[in-house]
Amino acid sequence: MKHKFRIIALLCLGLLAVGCSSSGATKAAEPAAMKEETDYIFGTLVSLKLYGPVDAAVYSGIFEDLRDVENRMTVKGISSELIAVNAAAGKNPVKVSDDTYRVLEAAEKYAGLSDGAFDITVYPLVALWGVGTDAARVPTPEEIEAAKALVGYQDLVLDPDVHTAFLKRPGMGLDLGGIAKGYAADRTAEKLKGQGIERGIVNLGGNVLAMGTKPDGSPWRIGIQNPMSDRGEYIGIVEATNKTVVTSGIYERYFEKDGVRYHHILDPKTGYPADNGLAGVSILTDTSMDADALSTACFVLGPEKAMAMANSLEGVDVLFITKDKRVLMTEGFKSVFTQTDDSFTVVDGL
Amino acid sequence: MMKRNDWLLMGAVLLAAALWWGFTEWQSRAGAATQVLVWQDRQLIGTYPLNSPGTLDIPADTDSGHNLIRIENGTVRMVEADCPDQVCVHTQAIRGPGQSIVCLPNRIMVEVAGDNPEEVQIDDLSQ
Repeated sequence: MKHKFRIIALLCLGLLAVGCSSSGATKAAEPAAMKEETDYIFGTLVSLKLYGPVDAAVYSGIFEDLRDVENRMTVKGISSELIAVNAAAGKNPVKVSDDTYRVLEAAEKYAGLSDGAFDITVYPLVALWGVGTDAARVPTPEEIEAAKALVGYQDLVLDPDVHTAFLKRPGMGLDLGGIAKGYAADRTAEKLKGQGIERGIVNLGGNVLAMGTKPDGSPWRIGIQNPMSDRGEYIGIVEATNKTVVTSGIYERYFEKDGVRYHHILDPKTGYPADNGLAGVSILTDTSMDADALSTACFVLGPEKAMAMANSLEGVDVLFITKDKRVLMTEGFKSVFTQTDDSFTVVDGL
Repeated sequence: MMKRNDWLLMGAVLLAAALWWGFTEWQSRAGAATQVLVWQDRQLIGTYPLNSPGTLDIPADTDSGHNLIRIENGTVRMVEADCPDQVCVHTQAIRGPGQSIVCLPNRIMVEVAGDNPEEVQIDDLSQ
């Protein structure tokens, strides 16, 4: 009798061990239901991560709105407001919608602030190089000189009363590739807030906008892409609440010719891809439109001038990664950044 | 007092439990992590084993264009794409759970199923 009792006790112990192990093997349930929806817009992957019971129509409504923005601001389709402005270069001003006008105004401001390092009239150079298209090639120096002569934000005339845009010289062109996604992210956050959604992450092709906090009240953790890798590895993590983190890097779009990599961030002053030892620049600030323009501006300006510009702007923090794996940050960036990849070295100056 | 046979029985039961645990763990890892998922424009178009002997070539021909995905030696890479930027072809081969290769122009995404242990640390990636 006693013997049987022992056997039963032992079997129970065994079952317990099996039970424990199998429950340990199953994954812990997600704390709050996060649902991610993705779509292809602006020629890139757009993702919305929202919490709680969110109606499917919210996601589709945002994607539809973003497609509408793309259709107005693209230079890649058959027609758009931008294409109309470009076609009328040297001829006449063209009326644009209020939001396109807002983006143009902001672009003009950042062109001035960065002394033309960020310049939306860079289109003739972008079209000439064709980075990321079938036509990608290294142009001749003569071609570059000719295209460069058509670049200059001073020859973009915006009329705030009637919301028109006018390029003074024929052959000039606008490209909002360095700012439109930022505008679109801010616009998305506004639309979500209007529908009572206060937290989540909007990601437009790697431009991240973190709304509110995580459901448990802690900040979002945003990785900063390792610019030497193409597999989504990161060098460190930024803690962000109601902030946007936008990164520009040499790994995004490029082509190689005779062993040289030509990336997509063109310096309007030289007409060539910016070549100043930088591999990536990340901007941490409140609005994605500012961050988008500033990441390009800082990349082209190089660390020294960019640091001076960032320090002159309130609430703008910058992180630079050089090709030789050094990391330079503003003080504000340092306070929220945790390095995770030891192969990079954080420095106080370059 | 426990007798000698009791110890043996307890040992046998614990051993059986350990073996069972090991088996389920192996099964969940091997089973879940080694599927390769291929998506076209957000639609799942195929699921393939990562660890298949030899070479497995998966052509993905759609309205958007042509891609050729190759599974070999437990890794996946994009060997051909008719897209202009060739970013996907330049991407290094992937093997770990959660890793992916994206061909934006053709809207093709190839991923190794499972959670990327590195990505669990972050909520999103600025790139």
